[in-house]
Formats: sequence, C-alpha cells, structure tokens
Amino acid sequence: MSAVGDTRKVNTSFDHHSSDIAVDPYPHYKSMRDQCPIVWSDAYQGFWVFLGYQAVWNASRDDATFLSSPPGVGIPDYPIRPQIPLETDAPMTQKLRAILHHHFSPAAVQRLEPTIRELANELVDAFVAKGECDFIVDFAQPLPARTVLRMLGYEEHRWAEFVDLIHTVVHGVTSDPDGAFTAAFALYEEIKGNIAKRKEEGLGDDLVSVLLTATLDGEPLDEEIAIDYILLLLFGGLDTTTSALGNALVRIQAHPEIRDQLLADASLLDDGIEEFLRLDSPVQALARTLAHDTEMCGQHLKQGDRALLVWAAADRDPEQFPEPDELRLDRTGNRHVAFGVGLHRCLGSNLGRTMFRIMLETVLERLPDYELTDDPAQYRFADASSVYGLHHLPARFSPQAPRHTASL
Amino acid sequence: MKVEVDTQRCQGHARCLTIASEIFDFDEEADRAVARPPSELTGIPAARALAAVQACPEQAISIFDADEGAE
Ligand code: HEM
Ligand code: SF4
Repeated sequence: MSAVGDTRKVNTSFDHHSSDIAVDPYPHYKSMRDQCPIVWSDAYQGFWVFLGYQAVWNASRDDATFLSSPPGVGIPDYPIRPQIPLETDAPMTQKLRAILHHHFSPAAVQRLEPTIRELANELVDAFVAKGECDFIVDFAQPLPARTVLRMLGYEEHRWAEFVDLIHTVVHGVTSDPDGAFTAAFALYEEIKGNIAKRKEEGLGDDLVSVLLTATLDGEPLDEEIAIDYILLLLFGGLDTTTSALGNALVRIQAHPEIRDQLLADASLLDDGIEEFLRLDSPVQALARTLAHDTEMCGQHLKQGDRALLVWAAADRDPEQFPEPDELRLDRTGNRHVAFGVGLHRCLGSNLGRTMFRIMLETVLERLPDYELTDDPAQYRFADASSVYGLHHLPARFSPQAPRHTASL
Repeated sequence: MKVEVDTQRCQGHARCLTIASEIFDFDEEADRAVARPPSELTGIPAARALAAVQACPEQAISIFDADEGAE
C-alpha cells in the first residue's frame, strides 16, 4: 500500500460520473479496492470512496456517523430540493417511512402481483406479433412507470410524459443541473396542481391520499414534504427497475447456459434475481457526510468529509462473494446491498423485486428465443452513477399471436 | 429449533420470508420480520433457517438449539 501525504493511504482522481467508466465501472472499482477498501478521490473538492463490502456495510449501518441529510446523497450536491425520506436522518427517517411502509410490504406487493402480471402481458401483446421490440422503451420503462403512477393515483396513460421529466432530472443532476432543476420544478408543479384537484374531488386510497392525510409528530404532514416524498417515489422506482431488467437480459444473452437453465426451471429466479441485482446494481453509489471524526481501515475521516458508498463495488468484493464476477444462479449467502442496508434500505425493494421478477418471467415465457440485435454497450447511460442501465435494447424473436389477456 | 430476529437490526428486507416462509412472518405495522415460535418449527430442517441467516443483509437472524448445535 502506498502511503501518500497525510493519513490518506490511497489517493485517486476517481470520478463516478465520468463517461470513461460508464460502460463497465467494475474494473475501476476492483483496481482501487485491491489497494484499500476505502480510498480518497480529489474530484469534486475531495471525498472518500468506500469500496469494500465490510466498509460499505459498516458505514451504511452506522447512520449516526454517516449522515444522509443535506448536503445529502449526491456528490456534487444535487441541484434539487432534499429528497424525502432519502436525505433525512434518524429519528425523522423512521417516522417518514412509517407513513408508507405498509403500502410497500411483502403482503401489499403480493396483492399487486396479478395486475403487474396482467400489465406485463398486455405490453408484450402489443409487439409480440412483430417479432421485434425495444425491451426498454416498449416494456421495461412502461411497466414500473404505469405501476407506480397507478399506486399514486395518477393518470396512467400519461406515463411517457412523466418518464421524460424524470429522466431529465435523474440523468441531468450532474451533467445538466439547470435542465434537471427545470424538469424537477415542472414535476413539482404537476404534483402540486394534482393535489389541489384531489382535495376538491375527494381523496381515495392511493398513496397521494395517504400522504395528504398523514400526521407527523401529531401535526398534519407538511404538503411540501408530501410533494418531495411523491417525487422520490417517481425518481427512485422507475429507471432503477427498468435497468434491472435491461442488465439481466444482457447477461442472459451472454450466457446461453443460463438461459437454458432458466427456461427449464423458472424457480431458479428465487435466488437468481438477487444474483442479477448483485452483479449489475442499477444504483451504483450514494453518498453520506461524516457527523464526527472517525477511524476506519486505518484512515482518519474528519467531521464534514463526504463519503461515497459504492454499493456496486461492495457487491463484487471477493472477501464477501467467492468468484464475485461470476453469475451463479444458485449462489447462497447472497447478502448483496443493491437496495442499500440499514436505516435507508430501499422502501420499494419488495415492489422493485416483484416487478423485476415478473418482467423477467414474462420475457422468458413469451419470448424465450429473444436475441439482442445490437451491441448493448452503445446504449448505456453516459453517467453510470445516476443509474447503471440502458436507454434502448432492440431485440428480435419468433413472432407469435398476442394473447389479449387484458380483454378476456 | 429456536429462531430469533433482532428487531433492532432487522430493516425489513424480507429476504428471510422469501427463502423460508415456513419459519418467518412479517409484522406489517413494524416493517420487521418475526420468527415463528419453536413449537411451530418442529421438523423444519435447520438448513432452511441457515439459508435465511446467510442471506439476511442486516445479519439480524440467529438460530438456537438447532439439532446440529447452536449457531
Ligand atoms: C431494482 C430497483 C431498485 C433499486 C436497485 C433501488 C435502490 C435503492 C437504494 C440503493 C436505496 C438506498 C439509498 C441509501 O441508502 O441512501 C433506495 C432507497 C429508496 N428507494 Fe429504491 N430501488 C429500487 C426500486 C425502488 C422502487 C420501485 C421504489 C418505489 C416506488 C423505490 C423507492 C425508494 C425510496 C423511497 C427510498 C428511500 C428510502 C429511505 O431513505 O429511507 N425504490 N433504493
Ligand atoms: S432478511 Fe433480515 S433484515 Fe430482512 S426482514 Fe428478514 S431478518 Fe429482517
């Protein structure tokens, strides 16, 4: 290990937003992690990069030392309002999560399964006779978008409009802060207008209504907080789930033996979806801020320092996962952190997993011989640190008659 | 066999539930997993519980009095 300067053992210029690492960030993580589980980067005024599984796990679970409140989870800071409950700390985080968590529980998501499956089949019906599709645009984008909009009680048919604005925010926060800000404001106005309308027409049992009638510390939940919460459900739930499917379809294409195994036995997806999420985490990294000085891995971290927790690097740490770069459908002990760990564990993890699994099952069942027509590398987002995923994924398959399940 | 979920550690990932639904339940109000009492776990192989232990991202599950000895 090379001791450079002060207590920072390994100095780098690692930039998680760089297009140089967008197609395959993993070798970059490996070369840093091989030197030390925590390294320093001098990009963006300097920050710690957490790469080892144990280091990421310890930091994420120690939410009294590693804060999520502003400046928050982006490095550099996001140009938008604090995300709720993502950019809060205990005990506020638990209180905010408690307002919605039973709507994302295993049982609640199980109740949604039939409608999600119906939607998946309806989307496939629309292109199955053509023998070709774009898996992202025709399938993996509308499914989570329409599902989440439905849960929120929004007009589902406007999903493409919402997706456009969300994309501009999620992918612009670093490369185009002005554009991201403008799009976030447009969404904010949209939600605010919708709230006014709902109040007039009467509330229902959708998530927006739940937020509008919620209390926090005995007071009605502030409407601005409710809006920020709704925004995060849109930012957090769409591209992430879309990317999980895109990444898995690329893996399956690259490994014919995996495809054969999955086609022979769909129950392999019980552990399999976890393995896909471990290998290609849609959310690669999120940041924290040090509440006080601390010592970790022989490094001295100071109060106010920023720390980037690279979930995706932790998920390929050989100390935690034997042969970490191998896809093993039957991997046991898969404690991956693709949904984070600790206080801020993804509130939508049950929903994300279920949508991902249903999409994958539907593709394997109805388009078992799909073949990607282009090299997927060209369709990766230019900034892997916003979302590690694809914006297009054209494919061919044997055409079939639609089933029209929805109209039965 | 006695299985315990440490409610301070558990963050409700529900991996345990997916892996061994015969051992775990989910407390909707608390957003936490709970293990069924030992009386409902007789005859269930310890390997089922162990698979959940090994997959729990928060390391919140412990097994006691498994036939092969405590974990
Ligand atoms: C495969 C899909 C998904 C992945 C990989 C993913 C990933 C993550 C990660 C890593 C975090 C932790 C943030 C942190 O610790 O700082 C998180 C938080 C969150 N996610 Fe997801 N997510 C997914 C799907 C969803 C869905 C479908 C929703 C809801 C519609 C959602 C809503 C949220 C919310 C509200 C939080 C904030 C939780 C908190 O701060 O307490 N996510 N997600
Ligand atoms: S897997 Fe662990 S953290 Fe998740 S619900 Fe079960 S015990 Fe809790």
